[in-house]
Amino acid sequence: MAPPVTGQIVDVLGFLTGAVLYVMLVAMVWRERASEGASLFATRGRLPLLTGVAGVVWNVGALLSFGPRMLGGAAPSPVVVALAFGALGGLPAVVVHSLLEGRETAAGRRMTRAVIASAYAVSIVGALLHLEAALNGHPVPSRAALWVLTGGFTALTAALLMMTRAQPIGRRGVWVAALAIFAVSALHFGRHGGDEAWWVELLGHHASLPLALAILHLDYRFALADLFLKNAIALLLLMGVSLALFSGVIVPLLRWQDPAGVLDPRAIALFVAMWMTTALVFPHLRRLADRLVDRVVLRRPDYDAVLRRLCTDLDTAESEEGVVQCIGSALTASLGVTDFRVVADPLPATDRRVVATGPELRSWLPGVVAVVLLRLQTVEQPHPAIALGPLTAGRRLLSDDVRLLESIAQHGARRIDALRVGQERLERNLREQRMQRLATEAELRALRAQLNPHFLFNALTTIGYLIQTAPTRAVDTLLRLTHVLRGVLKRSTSEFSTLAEEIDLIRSYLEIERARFEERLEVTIDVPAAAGRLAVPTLLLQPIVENAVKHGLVATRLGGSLLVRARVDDGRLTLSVEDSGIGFDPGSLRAQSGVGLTSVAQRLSSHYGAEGRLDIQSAPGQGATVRIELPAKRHPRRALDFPARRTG
Amino acid sequence: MTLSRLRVVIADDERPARSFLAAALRSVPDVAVVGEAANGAEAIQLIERHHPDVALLDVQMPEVDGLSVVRLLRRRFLPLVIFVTAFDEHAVKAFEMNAVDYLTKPVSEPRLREALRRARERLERHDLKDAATTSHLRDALSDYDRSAPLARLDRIPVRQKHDIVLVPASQIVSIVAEGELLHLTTSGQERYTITYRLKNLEARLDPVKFIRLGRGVLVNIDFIARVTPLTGGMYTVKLRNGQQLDVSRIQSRLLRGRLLQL
Repeated sequence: MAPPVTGQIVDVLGFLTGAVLYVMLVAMVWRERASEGASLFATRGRLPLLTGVAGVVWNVGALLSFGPRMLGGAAPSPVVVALAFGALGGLPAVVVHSLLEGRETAAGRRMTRAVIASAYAVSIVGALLHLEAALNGHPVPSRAALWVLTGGFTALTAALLMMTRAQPIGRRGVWVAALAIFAVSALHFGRHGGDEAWWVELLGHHASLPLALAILHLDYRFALADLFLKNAIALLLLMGVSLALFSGVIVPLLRWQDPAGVLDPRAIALFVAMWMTTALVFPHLRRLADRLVDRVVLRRPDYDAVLRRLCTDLDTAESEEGVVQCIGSALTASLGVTDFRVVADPLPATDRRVVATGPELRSWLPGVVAVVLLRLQTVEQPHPAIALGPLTAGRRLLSDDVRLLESIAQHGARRIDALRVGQERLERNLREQRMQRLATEAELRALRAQLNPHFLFNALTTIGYLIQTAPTRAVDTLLRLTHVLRGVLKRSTSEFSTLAEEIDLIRSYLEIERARFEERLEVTIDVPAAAGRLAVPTLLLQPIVENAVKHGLVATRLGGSLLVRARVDDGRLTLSVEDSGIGFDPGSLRAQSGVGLTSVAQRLSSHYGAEGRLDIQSAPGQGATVRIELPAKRHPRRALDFPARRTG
Repeated sequence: MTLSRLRVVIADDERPARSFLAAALRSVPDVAVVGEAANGAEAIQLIERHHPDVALLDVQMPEVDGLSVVRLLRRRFLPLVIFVTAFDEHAVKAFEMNAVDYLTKPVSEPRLREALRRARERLERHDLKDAATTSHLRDALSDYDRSAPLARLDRIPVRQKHDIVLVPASQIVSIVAEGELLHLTTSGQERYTITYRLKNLEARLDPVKFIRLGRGVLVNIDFIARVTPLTGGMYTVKLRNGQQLDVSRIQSRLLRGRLLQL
C-alpha cells in the first residue's frame, strides 16, 4: 500500500506547490504590470502572465482530478481534466515563445515566427484533442494528444537546438533540458496506467515546475524572479522534508505498530508531530533556499557589502569621472557588468533612476550596447547617466540588483552634488580671494594715485619756485620728494609695513607740505621707538594725515598744528592724528571727504575684523581727531631692512 | 592816462609762490609790486587800499579764494585780474571762454611777462578797466560756478564794510534773492548782502538743511519755528528770528512731503 500512497501524496503536494507557485507568479507579473501602468493586453509581461495562468489552470485542474481520487472520492468532470491538460500542453509553447521573443536567431525573423507559431499549433491541437476525448467520453488525457505533444515538442526542441547553435551552451542547456523534461512528462502521461514509483510520478507529473523555474530564470523581464525562486525552492525543500519524514519515519513506524496499516489516533498524533517538525525546520529551509538561490543560482553579491564599499570609495572620489569610475568598477566586481560608459541622459526627468534596456533604450542611445541605464539624478544640470553593458555569462538583473543600482545611483548623485557644491564653494572662495587681492591692489594703486598727481604737482611747483628763490631749500625738498616716491613705490606690493617706515614716509610728506605752507603747518610726531617694529597696513595713516593737512589745516588761512601719535598699551596699538583745523560735522562726513576714511575703515575691518577700530571726533571749528586701534603685532621683517636712515 | 608803471598786487597763500612772483615781477621793467597778500581777505584789503592796475590772484586759497576776491571786491576797485591756477580745469575753461587772462602753476617768467604785456595793452587801449572787462570776469565766475563740482560751502565769505566775514552756513537762517544780490540773515539777526546766484549758492549748501520756499527764497530748516497752512494748500513759514515767508504752491507740496509728515 505504501508506494501508491506515497505517489499520491507526491502528486497532491506537487500540484499544491505548483498551484501556489503559479498563483504567485501571476500575482507578481500582475503587480509588475500594474506598477508600470500597463493595460491588460499590453505586450510587456504578457508571456509570463500567460505562463502563470496556464500553470495555475494545470495545477488546480490536476489537483481537482487527482486529489479526490486519492481520498477515494468521485472523479472530477472529464472537461475539467481536459482543460487542465490543455493548459499543461500550452506551457511549452509559451516557453518556446518566451525563448525566441526579441532574439534574432541565426535563422532569421521569419523562421523564428514559424517555430513560435508551430509551438502554439502543437499546443492547441493537443488541447483540442483532450477536449474532444472528454466530450466523446474517451479517457482523458487523450493518448493521441499526448503523443502529438511529445512528438511535436521533441521535434521543436531539435529545431531550436539547431537554430540556436551560436548561443552559449549554458544558456541553451537550461531551457532545452526543461523542454525535454516536458516531452518526457507528456510521454509519461501517455502510458499512464498503474501506479508508478513516487519519483517517477514526481518527475512525470510535475515537469511544469522546473519549466516554470526555467522560464523565470531566463526571462529578461523577471527581476522579481529571485523572490519567486526562493519561495519555490523553500516549498520544494519543505515538500522533500515532509516526504522524507513520512516515508522514512512515519510509514515504517506505522507498519511497526500496526502491520495492517490501519490509521489510528496515534497515527494522527504522529501527523501533528510531523507538521510541527516541518514548521520548526521551515525557517532553516528558507534560509538555505535563500543562500542557494543567491550564491549558486543567481550569483547575487552581498548588497550591503557592495554598497558599504562603494560609499567609502565614493567619499574618496574627487571628481565626477571618479564617481563614475567608482560605480563602474563596483558594478563590474559585484554584478559582472562588462562595460560602462557615461552618456548624456536621454530621458526627461522622471523619477526612475534605473531604466532597463528595451528597444526604446536602443533608440535613445544609438550605438551603445547597454542593458541598463543608470541615471544619476543630481540636483542641478547636467544629470549624468551611466549605460551599463551586458552582464557576464548571460546574467540577468534581479529586483535586488535593481534596488542596488537604485541606491548606487542615488549615492552617486549625492556624491556628485556634494562635489559640485564643494567645487562651487572652492571656486567662489578663489574668486573672492582673487577679488580681494585685486581690490587690495586696486586700493593700493588708488592710494598711490591719491598721493601722486596732486601732491606731486604741488610739490614740484613748490620746488620750481624754490629753485629760483631759495635753491638750498629746493634741493632739500626735492630729496624729500624722492624719498616719499621711493617709499610709495616700495609699498606697491606689500600689504603691511612697519610703523617706523610709515612714520618715516609721513614725516617726509609733511616736510614737503611744510615747504609749501611753512608756519601754517606745525607738526609734532610722537612715536615711541619701541612701536617702530610693529606692523601696520601700508599707507593706512598717510591718507588720514593728508586729509588733516588738506581739509583741516591749510583750509584756514592761519593753519594750525598737527599731532601724529602712537601708543602701545596692553597688546594694542593706538595711532592718532589730531589737527587743530576747521573741523567738520561727523554726521556729514560721509557725504564729503569721507572717501579716504571709508577706505581706511574697510581695510581695518578686512585685516583685523572687530579688533580694528576707527574713531573720528570732530566738530566744526574744533579741529579733528582720528584714532585707529589695532592689535600690536611685530612685523616679521628683519631690523636691517629698516629704512630709518636719512638722506640729505 | 598813459601808465608808466604797472602797479601789481600778488595774492597766493604759499610763500614760495609769492616770493617767486615778486622776484619775477621785480625783474620786469616798469612794474611795481605794491602788495603781497597771503590770503583772499588780505588781497581785498590790499587792492582796495592800493588801487593796483593788475591783481595776480591765486585761484586756490583758503577761506576766500581768488574767485571770491573778485566777487567781494567793490566794483570800482576791481583791477585787471590775472588768475593763477594749479590744475583746476573748470577754472581754465571758464577763463578761456570769457577771455579772462590766467597763468598756470608753476608760473614761467616769459609767460608772466607776456601776461603783463597784454594787461598793459588792454589798460592802454581802454584807458581804464572798463565795464566790458568787468562783465567778462563776472561771466567767467558764473560759468565756473555752473560747471565745477564745487565743494560744500561751510562758511560763506561776506563783506562787512572793510572786512571780510566768514559766516558759518549753520548760522544762516534765510537767503532771499533780490535781482543780482542775495540777502543773508543770520541767527544773530545780522544781515549781509552778497553778489551770487541763488542757484549756485544753493548747490554749494547742504541740501538737507537748506530748502527752497519759492523762486528766490532759501531757508535753513533748523530755524523754522512754525508752518501755518493757508487756503489752497499753501503755507506760510515763520522763522525763529521772526521772519515770515510765504511758500510757493509747488514748494508747498515738496514741503509737505519733506517736513510735515511724521
